[in-house]
Amino acid sequence: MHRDYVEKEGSPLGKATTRVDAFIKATGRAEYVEDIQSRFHDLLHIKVLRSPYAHAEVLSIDTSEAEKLEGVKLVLTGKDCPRTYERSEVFSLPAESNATWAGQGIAAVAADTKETAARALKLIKVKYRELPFVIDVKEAMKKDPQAVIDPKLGTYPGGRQYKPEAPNIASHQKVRTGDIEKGFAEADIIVENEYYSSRVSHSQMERASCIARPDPDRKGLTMWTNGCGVHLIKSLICSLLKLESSRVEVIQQYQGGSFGNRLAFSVEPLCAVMAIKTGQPCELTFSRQEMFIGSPSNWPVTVIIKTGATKEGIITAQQMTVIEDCGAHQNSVRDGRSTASGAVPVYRVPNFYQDIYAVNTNTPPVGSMRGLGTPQVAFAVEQQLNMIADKLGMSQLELRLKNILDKGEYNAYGEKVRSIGAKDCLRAAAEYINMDKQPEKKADGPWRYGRGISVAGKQNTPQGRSEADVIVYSDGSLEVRISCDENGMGAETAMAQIVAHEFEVPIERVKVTRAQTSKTPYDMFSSSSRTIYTTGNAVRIACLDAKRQLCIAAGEMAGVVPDRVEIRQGRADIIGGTLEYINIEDLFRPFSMFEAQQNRNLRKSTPVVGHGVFAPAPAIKWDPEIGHTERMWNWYQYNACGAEIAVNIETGQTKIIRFVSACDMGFPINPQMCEGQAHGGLAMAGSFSCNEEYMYNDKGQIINGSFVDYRLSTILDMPPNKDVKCVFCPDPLPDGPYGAKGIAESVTCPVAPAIAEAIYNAVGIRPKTLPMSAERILKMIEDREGQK
Amino acid sequence: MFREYYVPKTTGQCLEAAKAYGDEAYYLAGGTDLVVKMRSGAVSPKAVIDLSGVDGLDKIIQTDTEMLIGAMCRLTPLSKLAQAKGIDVICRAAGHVSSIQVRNMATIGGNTCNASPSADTVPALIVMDAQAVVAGFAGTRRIPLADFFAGPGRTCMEKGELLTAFAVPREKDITEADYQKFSIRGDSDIAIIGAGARISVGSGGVITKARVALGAVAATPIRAYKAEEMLTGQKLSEELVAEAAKAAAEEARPITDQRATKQYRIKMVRIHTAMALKNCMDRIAGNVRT
Amino acid sequence: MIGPVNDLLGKMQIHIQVNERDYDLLVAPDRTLLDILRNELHMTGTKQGCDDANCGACTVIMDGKAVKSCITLITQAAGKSIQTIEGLSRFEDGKEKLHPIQQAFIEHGAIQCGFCTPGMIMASKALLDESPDADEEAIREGLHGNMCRCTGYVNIVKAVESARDVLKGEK
Repeated sequence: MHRDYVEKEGSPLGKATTRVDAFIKATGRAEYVEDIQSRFHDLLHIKVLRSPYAHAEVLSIDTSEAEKLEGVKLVLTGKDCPRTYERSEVFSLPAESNATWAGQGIAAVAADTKETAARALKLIKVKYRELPFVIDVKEAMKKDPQAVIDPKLGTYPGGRQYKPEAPNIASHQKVRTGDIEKGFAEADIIVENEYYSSRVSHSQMERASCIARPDPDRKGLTMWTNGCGVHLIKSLICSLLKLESSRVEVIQQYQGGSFGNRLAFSVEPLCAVMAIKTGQPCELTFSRQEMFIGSPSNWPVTVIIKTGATKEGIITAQQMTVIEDCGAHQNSVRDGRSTASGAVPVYRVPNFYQDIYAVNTNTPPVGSMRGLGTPQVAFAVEQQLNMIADKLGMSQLELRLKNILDKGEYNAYGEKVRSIGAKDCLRAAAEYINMDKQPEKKADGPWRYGRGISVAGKQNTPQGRSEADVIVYSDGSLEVRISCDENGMGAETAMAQIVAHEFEVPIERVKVTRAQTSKTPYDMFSSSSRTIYTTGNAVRIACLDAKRQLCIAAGEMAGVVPDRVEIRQGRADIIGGTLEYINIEDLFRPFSMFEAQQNRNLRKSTPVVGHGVFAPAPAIKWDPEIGHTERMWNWYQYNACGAEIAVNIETGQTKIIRFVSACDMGFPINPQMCEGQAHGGLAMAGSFSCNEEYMYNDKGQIINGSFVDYRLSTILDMPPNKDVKCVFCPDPLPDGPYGAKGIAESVTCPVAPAIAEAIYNAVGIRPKTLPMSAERILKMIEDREGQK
Repeated sequence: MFREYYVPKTTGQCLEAAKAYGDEAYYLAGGTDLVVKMRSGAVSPKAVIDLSGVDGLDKIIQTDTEMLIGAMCRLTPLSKLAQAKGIDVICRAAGHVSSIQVRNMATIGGNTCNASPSADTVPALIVMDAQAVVAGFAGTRRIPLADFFAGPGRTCMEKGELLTAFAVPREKDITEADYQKFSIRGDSDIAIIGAGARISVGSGGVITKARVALGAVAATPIRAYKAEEMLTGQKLSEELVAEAAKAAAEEARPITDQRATKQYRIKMVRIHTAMALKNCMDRIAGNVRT
Repeated sequence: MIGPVNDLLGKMQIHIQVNERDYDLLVAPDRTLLDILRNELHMTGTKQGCDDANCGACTVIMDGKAVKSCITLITQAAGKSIQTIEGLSRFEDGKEKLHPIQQAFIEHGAIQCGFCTPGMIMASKALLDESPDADEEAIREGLHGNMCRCTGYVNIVKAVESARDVLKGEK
């Protein structure tokens, strides 16, 4: 383990420090957005009328009856909305023209009670003309498809031109590494398959919620939200409402999870527009059903893949088509590249071709979700390797170890590998799940047992600047002001740990101030498992800045140059002077009317503010013909999963018997929280793998958009605690704070393929469709029996 | 959600209050289903008649010939009576309804009167030949539970009638029964199918009475009459169990929905009917298995 | 002929006890306990996460039993004693003393986003009050009506087991 920075005695780094927000959350006092609604006596409640049709032209909207209802303040339709044409608006603002998915907002009501708003929705009369729609992504890609938008409109929202021959293909990108023909010619074994992973939901426990209040003092708007990235929300609202930057304040309340869902602003734009138009504070909170049909999900991925290897088990070629179903609206970052990148971080593949498509369908627009498409691709790549290992009679561990990249090598995108813990992770997972042995029992009644391992990586996107302010008060206490999101992953605690480490003080002396645009400095948002990396680095730099200022002051007092001063344990230690040290509080001098008060000396009640800015090194634009660059992504986090699974051959049900997650997060700043990420990632990905999927009826409507029928895992779906194991195999990242990368997403990447492999070892079938639901597994078992 | 709220003390008062509103009054038992439906707007009654104040509706009474389970018996206490001879299967089924929080409020009468095809207690009640004791202005009448349902969400009770109890006859012969709930995420999930089975054996181990009842395979919970016939008069054996389970599967008429396809449900009926029958068989043989 | 218990304006007098304090309410009977706790009594520790009583974030204890307050009408709580997350800790000697379950949730990392936490803690309390010896299986059975998307439940189970041992030691 990387301990260079950690050997300092008493440092909280690398230790299971109690979360700074645990107490307030355990006592029910943490205020989430909905909890502060009662502060506003004249609060209006917003409800959204949604299209029942997957594709329809809105011919007319008659709002007159709704407007007459007592208590209704405003009925808003798409034509009355300001727009910036940023993708995030599509979840929030009523449709401008046509409805392009079942669930798209058509009109919205603000009323003095939720009940009145709901009643008003029923009084809005909308005339629709139904249009042909397409749900299936392959259907959407065909030569003469039904278009996701009405051809009459001419352009897609976002400006893409309508192309009659391929109207729904939003993006096609290519990667061409080596010579694919030659690679397959060198192969002794070739396996070719198609994999599909379903649409799944973030389903964080707190629904999207926001309050916007016209602010007479600010002559603008104040917003309270559980959305991610307060500064981004602010800039969107400013441009939407044509308000100057100084006029909008966005405050983040406690967030009840996100997993990427809150990176799309599902509620904020509409709430802000309503507040400005009514002149009253407005709140908008999605129902759970609206979270399914009106806020983003992940994107379904189809992978058609061909892999070649020599009989020694060396991969010679991999060719794949990756199709990302991005729903009714394309997102600027949803071009398929992040998804496709799931195929490169782990293995050495000299000849590697990818064709990457992003395709529109008449389904809810997608958004970032834990893993950003890479787990779906790992599901394909890892199973390909298992099949090759089987054919070669080689252990899966050995085959993988032969092909895993080493540090310093270049991956198939041409990127230099700077940190990779994949081998250690895989070995650890294999060891803890006893991969070289059969399960103790192979069969018990209808249950069959099997084990599987898998390894995968997740890129980090090199965007997102972070800033931090570290404040040193004249009594030596500390405050860190950050705008990164605290979705629950523990960012605030980690930042407090970093400050406590840098100043060598107990963490209790560090106060964390959460995101609020007028107080806390810029941060893009917490995505791509980057918070520790970008915000953590910014906090560290801010600490150095604050310490430098203290060193200058102490140096002046002690008559030494600043670099002869070290700030630690509440003191400025002087090296080489007559004074041994000065207490921090003594660096701040009291005011005196007999002294000049504007000089450089530090003054009581005027804290020192250190500012830190960190942005990752820029990516280098890739050649569009071959998709190559030395720096497309920032770094990769790695994870291996081991799973023992029981399969019921009568019902097709699967049960997780044992679960191992081996994580390369660079450095575990807080091991307890890293473990929490691993546990949560296993449970979530286990649930994605076996149970979760959106289902549609023949009208294109989602029919299981509730916690009744969308099968989120419960406490019964995890094995006993003794059978859940978490191991750390960190490979430090050179520019990560204390070597740290991130962990949240990569945990989920290898889970589905590990489970799939365990199922194969239990019952001899290879599931290629996610989720590996009971029905699908049973059907596969029966089909195989039928063939016998 | 509603305008008027009644808390009657007697069955008569319930009937009176309900009469005044016709279709627009709902009885409230535990509320775990009704409140969800009212909140979503699926039902919007004018009046709600809370049964929790009515004397005696939450009692279990034993007579020489039958057990009377009050309609307002809550599922948690009921589930703890799994040793109660003659109604043990009903009590065990009660323990499979959703989570502890729901069972603490939900009642056995409510679980029946929702008329959900997947209600867990219903197949158990049916196999024990339970009758719904229904109070109306003309007095009380009894409806065999297998005939109690008219369709999803609909019972055969007349407007304003009130289910007060279930009468479960006492069986002289050795009787064992079992209920198998099949769902993906344990009891929190709604059953994909439910299979209830009951076997009574007379002298020489001959089956004197057999019942197989299925949930979530038709518009209402149903009895699998062919399977029952096949069992009656025979001696229990693994082969017989398999045959009867197959017959039950043939009698199921499920639909495809978001929880499962029709074909899958049919297969699950066979598997879980067999398990339920097998458990009856084992219990009769003295090998208790749950 | 009996009449409705609510008055002409639709409201009804209801007495409830919440966290050992008495409240006399005049409210419409069609409101849920969750709604009253949050919007009338301003006890916002109890959360709502779904539409249909599946997530368990609204769990409170009513007369010793865990219930989902989002499907409990306020009338059903009339005359009863309710415990919510706000009433679990005690202030003693100038310091807040947490309930052992709260303390265990903090120590064992059972809290991440914290949204399910109040419901999870109340369900755990009802469970341990009734079954002081609850083993891991009983804990999972008692908590499967409470969903958590962050923790994978591992540390939650650990916390409840640890609280169980502490509580047993206290007796």
